[in-house]
Amino acid sequence: MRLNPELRRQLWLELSLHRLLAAPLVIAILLGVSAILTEDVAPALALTAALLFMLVTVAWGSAQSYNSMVEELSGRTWDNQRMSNIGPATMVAGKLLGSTVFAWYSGLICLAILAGTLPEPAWLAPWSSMEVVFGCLLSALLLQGFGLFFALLEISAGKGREGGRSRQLGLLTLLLFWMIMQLALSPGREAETQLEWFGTLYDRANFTLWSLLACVGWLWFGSYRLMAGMLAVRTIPWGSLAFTLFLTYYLAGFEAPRTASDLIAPIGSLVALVLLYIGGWMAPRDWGSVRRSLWTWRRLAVGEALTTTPGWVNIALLGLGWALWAALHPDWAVPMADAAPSPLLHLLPITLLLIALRDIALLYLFSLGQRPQRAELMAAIYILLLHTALPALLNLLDLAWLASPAWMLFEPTLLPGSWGPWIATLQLLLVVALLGWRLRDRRTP
Amino acid sequence: MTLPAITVEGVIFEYPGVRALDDVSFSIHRGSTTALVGPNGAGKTTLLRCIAALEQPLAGQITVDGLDMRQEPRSGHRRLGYISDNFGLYESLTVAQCLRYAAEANGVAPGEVAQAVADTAERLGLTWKLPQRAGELSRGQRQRVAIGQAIIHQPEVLLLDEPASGLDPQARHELSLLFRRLRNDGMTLLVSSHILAELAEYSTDMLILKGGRVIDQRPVLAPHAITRLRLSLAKARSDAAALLAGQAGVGHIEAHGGHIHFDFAGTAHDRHRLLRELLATGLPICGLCEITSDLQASYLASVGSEEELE
Repeated sequence: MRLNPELRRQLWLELSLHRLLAAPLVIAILLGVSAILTEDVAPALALTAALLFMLVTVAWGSAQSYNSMVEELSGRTWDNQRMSNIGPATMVAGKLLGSTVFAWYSGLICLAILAGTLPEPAWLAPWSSMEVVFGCLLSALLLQGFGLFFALLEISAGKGREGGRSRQLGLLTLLLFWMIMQLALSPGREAETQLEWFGTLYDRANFTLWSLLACVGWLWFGSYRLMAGMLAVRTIPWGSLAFTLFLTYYLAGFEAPRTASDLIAPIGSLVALVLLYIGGWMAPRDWGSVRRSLWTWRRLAVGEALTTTPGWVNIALLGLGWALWAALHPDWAVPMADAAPSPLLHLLPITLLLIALRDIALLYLFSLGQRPQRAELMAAIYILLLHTALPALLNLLDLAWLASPAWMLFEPTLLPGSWGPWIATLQLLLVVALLGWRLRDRRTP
Repeated sequence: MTLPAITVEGVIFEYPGVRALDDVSFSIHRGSTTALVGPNGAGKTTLLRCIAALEQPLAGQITVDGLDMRQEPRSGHRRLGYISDNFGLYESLTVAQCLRYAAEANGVAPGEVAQAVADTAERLGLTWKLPQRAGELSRGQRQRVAIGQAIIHQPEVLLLDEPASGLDPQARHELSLLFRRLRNDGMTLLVSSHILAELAEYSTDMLILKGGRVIDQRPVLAPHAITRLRLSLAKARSDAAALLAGQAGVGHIEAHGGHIHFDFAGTAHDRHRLLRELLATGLPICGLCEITSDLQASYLASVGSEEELE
C-alpha cells in the first residue's frame, strides 16, 4: 500500500531523530522542575502536562495545520499541488495529520502523564479522568481542524497571504480551548450529570464528547469540501446546506421539553443568519468569480453554475424558506408572547435575513469596486452606520422606520410593524440595484 | 490527421475593468516548441495559467491532448507539466525527496517511483545533487529540479513561464539544450520569455500576444533548411550582390556596405560549394556566418506592423 504522499512529505519535514529525542527530554525536565517546586507532586505534574499539551498540541498544532496550507502559498508550491494527482481527502488527511505529527508526539506524552496523575476531585464530576483526557484529545483535534479549515477558507476567498496569521490563530485556539473546557466542565453545575436533548436524558460528559467528535467530523468534512474546490474536483455545494440542517437540529434538541419541531423554522433561520454572514464574508468575491458565476447562470449551464455559486446562496435560500414558514405560522411565537418584547416576533427571522442579505450585497458592492482590498473595511463601516448611526439620525427626524426595519417590529409606532420585512426588502433591492449598476459599469466593452 | 497538443478557442479572461485575454484562439501542433512572446502585460502568464486550468476563463474552450480543461481539469493535469517563474520548490527537502514527492503526487506507479527519480535526475544532470537540499542549489540547478518535478510523470505538454529569467548565460545555454532534448523526445513545449535570443535557440514556432490578443503565430525555424546568411567582405564591392544572385539556392539579398545578408537553401556541402565559387569570382571574402536572430526580427516585424495598424 502506498503511503499518502503529502503525509510522507510532512513527515520528512516534521520528524528528525534530534526532535524525537529532544521532545521527551524537554518534557521530562519541565515536569521534574514542577515536581521539585511543590509538595503535592501528582496535581503539579497533571497541571504541567495539561499546560504543555495546551501550548504544544493545541496552540502550536493548530498553527502548524494552518501553516500547512499558508506555507504552500508563500513557498509558491501551491500550483504544483493543485495540478497534482492527489485527491482532496488524501490532501486534507496528509496536511492535517502530517503537519501536526510532532505536536501529537509531544502531546501524547503529556496526555499519558495527565491520565496517570490527574486526580478525580468532586469538581470534575460528572467527568472521569479518562473522559477529561479524551475531551482534551478531541478538543485538540477540533482546533487543529479549525486551523486547516480557516486557512482553506482564507485561500479560497483569495485572502491567503504570505506569513499568514499563525500566531494569532495559535492564541485564538488557546482561548477556544479554554472556552470548550469551561463549557464542558461547567463549574458550578457539578450536580447536573445528565442533560436533555429532544426529550431524552443523556450522560453530560458522554454527550459533550460525542458533540466534540461531531464538530471534528464537520470541520474535516468542511476542509475536504474546500480542498475539493481548490483541486478542481467538481462538487455541488450541498455541504453548507447539510451543516446548516445539522446545526439547526442539534440546537433545536436543547429546547426540550418544548416540541422541537415547532422551533425548527425559527432556529433554522437564525442559524442560517449567522452562517450567512460568515459565508458571505468568507466567499470569493473577486471580479472573476462573480462574473463567471453570473455568466454560467446566464448560459443556463446549471451543472457548472451550481459549482460556481458560493455556498452562502444556498444557506440564504434555506434560511429564507424557514423564515417564511416561521412568518406564516406564528404559533411558535405564542408561548413566548409573555416574555417576547414584540407581538410581531414571528416576522423577526425574515426581517433579519433580508437585512443580512442587504449587508452581504453591500459587501459585494465594495468588493467589485475600484479598491477591492479595502472592501471589507468599507463594508464594515457602512454596515455599522446602517445599524447604528443612521437609525439614530433618522430617529431624530421621526424616520427611524426607514433605517431599521428590525426595530420597527419592536416599536411599531410610526408605521404598522408588519411593514418591517417590506422595508428590509426595499433596502435590499436598492443595494442590489447599485450592485447591478456596478457590474455593468465595470464590465469591459 | 494528428490532434493538436493544445487548442485554445475564443478564450476570454477578465480582471476588473481589463480584458486580459480577448477572444484568444490558436492551436499548437505536437512535438513543437512554441515561444510565447509579447510585451509586459500582454497576457502571457494568464494564458499559460488558463491552459493549466489554474485560472478559469470567463468563456472559451481549451483542450490539451484532446481533453477539455474546463470539464476535465484533473485528467488534463496528468498530461501537463507547468513551471511558474518562481519554480515552486520545497527548499527544506533534498532533490531526491522533491523528485520522489513529485512522482508520487503525480500518480507514478509505486513500483516505478525510484526508477522515475533516477531517470529524471540523470536526464537533467542532477544525479550527484540528489542528496542536497533544494534551497542550497544555484538558480540554474533549482530550475532543473523544477523541470524535473514537472516532467517526472512524462507529460505530453510542458508549459514554462519565463524559465530563463535570472539564469546566467551558461545556465541558459544548458536550458536550451535541455528543451531541444525534450522536444526530440516528443514533448510539446510552450515557453513564455522576454529573452528572444534565448528562445531562438530552441523554438520552432512563435506565438505573439499583445493586449490580450494573438497578433501572430508562425514557424520560426525555416523549413527545408533555408537559413539566413551574412557574407562579410574585407572591402565593399558594388558587384557583390549581382555575383551572389547568380548562385544556386540564393535569394532575398540585402546589401549593407561590406555585409550582404541573404537566404540560402541547401546543405552544408552546398554552402561549401557556394563559398568556393564566390572566392573564385575574386570577391574579398573575410567571413560567412548564419544569422540566428530570426525570432527577434519576426517578433519586431509583427509587433511593429501591429503598431502601424493602430
